[in-house]
Amino acid sequence: MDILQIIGLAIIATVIIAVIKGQRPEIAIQISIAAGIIVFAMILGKVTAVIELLNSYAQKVNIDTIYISTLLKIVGIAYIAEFGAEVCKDAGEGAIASKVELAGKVFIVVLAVPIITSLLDLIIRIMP
Amino acid sequence: MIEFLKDWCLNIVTLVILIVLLEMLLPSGRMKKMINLVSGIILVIALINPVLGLFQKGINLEEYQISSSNFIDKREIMVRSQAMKEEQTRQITNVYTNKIISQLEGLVTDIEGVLEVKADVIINDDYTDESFGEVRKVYLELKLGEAEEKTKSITPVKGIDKVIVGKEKRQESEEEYEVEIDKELKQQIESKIENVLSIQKENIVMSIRM
Repeated sequence: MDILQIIGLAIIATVIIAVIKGQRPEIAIQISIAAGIIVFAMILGKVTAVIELLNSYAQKVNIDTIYISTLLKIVGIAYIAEFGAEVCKDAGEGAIASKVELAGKVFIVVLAVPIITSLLDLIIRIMP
Repeated sequence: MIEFLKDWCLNIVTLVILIVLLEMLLPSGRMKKMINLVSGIILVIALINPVLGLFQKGINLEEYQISSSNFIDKREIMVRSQAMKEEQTRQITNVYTNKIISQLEGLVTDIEGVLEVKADVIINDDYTDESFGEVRKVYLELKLGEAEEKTKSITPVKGIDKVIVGKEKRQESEEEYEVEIDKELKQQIESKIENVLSIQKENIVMSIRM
């Protein structure tokens, strides 16, 4: 029951942070970042397994892997950017968090540009 | 025909299921909108493309992706190389300026009557210009004195006049301390710098440090 471990860790981290925040807010931030990273690392293995399974099914039914790989890359970037932004936001640095989000968006757009241009090209070709 | 329809349907159904699953996995932040857009576009392409492929009008998404990412990479490398080039030129200019300054200081210190010198130069740092690197102006801060004074470890403290608060008096005292550079020495320094850096005399500014 990994979920119990994760929730236990999260609750303990939250209690420690709540206790410590009054005296040492800088350590509270570090604990929150560490707890976040540990939870992220714990779910990473499971997410990888799920995505591998989906990928293998996609190959089995002979679907174009380019669709899936682009989507997965975008989801991965979104996850990491969101995680980084949340950590920054927790530490009270909203400005840096929004920059991290912007960076994530830029990378997603870089990946999405070929898809959008190919759709445009497709539409142009349909036109007689 | 049946084979094509089967492939098409399977493709769409699998893609839709995958997209739904991925949307469940997504973080609930602002990124969701972007991913929805991209997944929608991918779905539209997956819907249209096989039908167009039947009439040899379809596109190869992989080719598009490679060519687009190549283009983006190329542009990125160009921008970065431009920035690196500028940085390199800046560093070269810095090294060059420092060398000229130390050269000038060495040159002027060799002249008799100059104890210490602090030099500064303004050079043309526009690398697109033809005369890039040309020395435009030289500032020298001289400390005059004879060589044997160097051996003295303690210089006698100057007597200070009685301090009187008031404008007129202060101006007077400023005038008192202004020391003119010896004309011969000035000419000697100027001609030496002129020879080395090929710079006009009026672009050499000298001042005396007490």
